[in-house]
Amino acid sequence: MIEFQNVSYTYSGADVPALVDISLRLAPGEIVVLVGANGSGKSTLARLCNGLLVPSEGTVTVNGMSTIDPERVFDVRSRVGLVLQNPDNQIVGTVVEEDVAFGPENLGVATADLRIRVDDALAVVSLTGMERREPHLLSEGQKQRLAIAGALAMGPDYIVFDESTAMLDPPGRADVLAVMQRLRSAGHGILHITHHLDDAAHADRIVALDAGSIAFDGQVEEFFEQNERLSDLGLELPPLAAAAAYLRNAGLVVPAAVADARGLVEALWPS
Amino acid sequence: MRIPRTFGQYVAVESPVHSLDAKTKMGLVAAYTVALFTVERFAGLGAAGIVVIGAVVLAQVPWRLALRGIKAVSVILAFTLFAHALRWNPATVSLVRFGPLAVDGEGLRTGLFFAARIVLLVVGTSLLTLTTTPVQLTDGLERLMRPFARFGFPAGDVAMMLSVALRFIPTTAEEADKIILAQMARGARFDEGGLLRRAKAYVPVLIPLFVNLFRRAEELAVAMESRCYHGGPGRTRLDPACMRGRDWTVLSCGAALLVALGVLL
Ligand SMILES: Nc1ncnc2c1ncn2[C@@H]1O[C@H](COP(=O)(O)OP(=O)(O)O)[C@@H](O)[C@H]1O
Ligand SMILES: [Mg+2]
Repeated sequence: MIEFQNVSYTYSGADVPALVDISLRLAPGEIVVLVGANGSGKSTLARLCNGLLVPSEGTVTVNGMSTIDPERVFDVRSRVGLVLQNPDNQIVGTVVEEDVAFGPENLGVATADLRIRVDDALAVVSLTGMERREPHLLSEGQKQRLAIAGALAMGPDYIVFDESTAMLDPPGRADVLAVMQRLRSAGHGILHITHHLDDAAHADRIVALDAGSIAFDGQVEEFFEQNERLSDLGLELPPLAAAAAYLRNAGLVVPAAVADARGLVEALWPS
Repeated sequence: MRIPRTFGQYVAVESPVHSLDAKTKMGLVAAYTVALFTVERFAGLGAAGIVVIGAVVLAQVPWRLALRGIKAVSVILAFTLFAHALRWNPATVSLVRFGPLAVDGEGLRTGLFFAARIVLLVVGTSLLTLTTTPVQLTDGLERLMRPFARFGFPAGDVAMMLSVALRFIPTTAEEADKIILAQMARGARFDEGGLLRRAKAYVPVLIPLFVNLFRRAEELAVAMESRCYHGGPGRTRLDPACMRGRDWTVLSCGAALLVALGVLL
């Protein structure tokens, strides 16, 4: 469990806190989508999860370990993987396998185990066979999956994605979302930060940040029903959910959050 | 417009040369360089040439890549050749004369000798980066620098810095290409005017390039820290570079051969 208890964070030199009184939980085996406008504090929250930043007030614990504990810094970071937006800026190795090995190498994992971890991580993200490829020759989607493999090789329980699908084309994005599903099935807890509310369709829960505070934490369905609030949060309903909202306003019974067009059609005309 | 990215351009094939330890290859390149600078006859350069041709064939590196470095030194080559071969109104007998300008036979020989030496040096040393990944190279360097760690020299950090710098060369080159195109689309010209004017045309390319590099560096630091990089001891390696029996054999035989070549020819 990653647990935020009344966490506030103020950057040194800033007048206003970036996060105010955040309480939040991420359990293994669940996907939580985190949304919010630019500057609402999403990346700050991501960096608090693995102890890159430590709370100004309150506590963040990972599997019961406080992120402030200097003895546990590397335990915490290896439990919580962080995948960023631009894959080019997080790939350290000059060939794929060297990059995947970077994390466990830092942890001092023995060479024989390193090889196993690298192979396993590459298999999860479907990059097996690309071990000796140079990262800059991969597609953006493949690069991002490489970054995920790099996080996975540390053997984390949780992975935080900070707008990791924002720069990808639709197939690349679909691949990364599929990897998230696979990770959830394998018992990993996923925190997925995104601007696209359609990414919420696959989430177990949605959390919305507004100017550093939690504005919503609950079911996706329920969140989409409050569509008047969304524009205040700097968000926009995805086309499908907007269509569903219009239908509901017209008195038809359809779910507020549907995964795809077929779901909507079946709700209207059950076969 | 393409930014060259020869440096660190590793050719990913499996060959007997690729599988040698980076330190072996560095040692051989050092011996080869010494040999090149001690040979005094064309026979010596010819022998060195045979060694290099053999090495390129063994390494299965395409000739196009093996010879690419020559282009970068072509001006130096031409200068070396002309400076030695051409004479103005010489009193001695010359090979060919165009009015006052003459080609001196002895000078041409010397010029060819020095030019051939530069070509061999470039091809031989580029073979090191073509067959060794930057990480293997920096690992090798780190091992060679390790004795200095005792005097407080941060060998590990320096090796990591070099390795990251090498890793970002292609990324940065791609980005520079993009910015150049973007500036050209707005009417910037990079092929006009004198040297100074052309150099000035690159200022609007360098500024965004540097701003982006700083942003990248910041994110890279976050990514590396997230993956537990600490710069301290205790780091293990996926491919621990160690000198095997074969490395010692190749290094000692190769170095002996090259030194003999340098002394005898
Ligand atoms: N390094 C920093 N120093 C000072 N202020 C920062 C820093 N990083 C972010 N901020 C501020 O903190 C707030 C939240 O930023 P961030 O977490 O990056 O938001 P988001 O990821 O949601 O766009 C913003 O107002 C931003 O300007
Ligand atoms: Mg952000």
